[in-house]
Amino acid sequence: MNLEFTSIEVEDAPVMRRGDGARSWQIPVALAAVVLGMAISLQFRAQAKAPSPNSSQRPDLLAQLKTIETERNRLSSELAETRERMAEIEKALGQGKSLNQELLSQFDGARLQAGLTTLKGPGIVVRLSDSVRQPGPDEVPYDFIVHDIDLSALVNELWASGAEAVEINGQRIVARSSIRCVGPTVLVNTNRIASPFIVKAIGDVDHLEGGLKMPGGYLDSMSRLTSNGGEVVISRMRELQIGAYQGSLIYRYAVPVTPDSETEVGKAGEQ
Amino acid sequence: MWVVVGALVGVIIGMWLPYQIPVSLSRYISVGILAGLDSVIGGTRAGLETRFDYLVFASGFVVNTILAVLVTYIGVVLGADLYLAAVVTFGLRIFANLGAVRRHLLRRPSAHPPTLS
Repeated sequence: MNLEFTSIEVEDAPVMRRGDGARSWQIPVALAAVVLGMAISLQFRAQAKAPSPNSSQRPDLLAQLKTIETERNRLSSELAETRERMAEIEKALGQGKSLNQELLSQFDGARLQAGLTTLKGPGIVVRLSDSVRQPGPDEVPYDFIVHDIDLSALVNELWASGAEAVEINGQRIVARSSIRCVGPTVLVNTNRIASPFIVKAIGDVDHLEGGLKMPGGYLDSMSRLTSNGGEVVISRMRELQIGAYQGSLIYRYAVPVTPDSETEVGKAGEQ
Repeated sequence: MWVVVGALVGVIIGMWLPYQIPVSLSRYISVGILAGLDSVIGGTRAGLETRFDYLVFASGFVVNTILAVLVTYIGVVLGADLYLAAVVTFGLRIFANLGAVRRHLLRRPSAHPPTLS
């Protein structure tokens, strides 16, 4: 201990002597350090700013999405109320004459066609879920999740197999339904849904199941997902219920063509 | 000590400057920073070893930085990651010089100081 202490004392002398000329080298090095520090902090700021153009907009967009979604929910509940009122009025009409009753049954048929009624019947339930496993370094992340295309192909196959009503996670698929991908979620009828996807279909159980299990068919095409830990499970149901379509059915551009107006349009086209 | 103070002053000035470095240049700046860091630490070491030469220091600071940026630019043009050459060279030198500085500050100069310049 004592020895070390003295050795430091001895070494102190030359250090002090060096300290006299310290300014001769410390000032230019310090100036260089100023430049270096400036470059570092400028670079740091540039790097910190770099990813911002995208991410700074995200909260805005998220807030916008939130307000639009609450607006949509409000409107759809309004729509449900209006439809209920309509049903009441129709019922009141039906209590009248036989002509009204005839009209009423036509209405019911039209509503059934449009998917505005809750239905029940035999069918199948297909459950699709993303893989719980993380893709490895040499695996394709695409093969680990359920895509909008998979749902779209499934719905198409179900219609082709004679399904009379189809629903994905509570969203009834109707003539104008769309299925598309938005970021990590899927939009069905403009409602965001995520894995696991429960697809219900009412129809002939054997036909529906056979259509999916056909060799080279839908189930085979989903092997890229199932072989990576994803799930595609088909269950047969004696009875299941499918809810009514909640969205809007308003036509703003398309106009029905009657034989009279058809000729008019034809004339307009010729002119 | 003045070196550390200078670096801090530089950082603060850089934070207050209204000028923004375009992202496309950030690779050059980072290589340049490495060259500058090498010069500053090398200069500190030379100063501690009492063999500091102003001309050697100043020319090294400027020429090394320009050369590093130039090598990076050539690498970008040729499609090869040539900036790695600058990163490795300066990285080795920074560590060697920093080791020597550390020994000086601890007053235990190495008998065989590593030299890579």
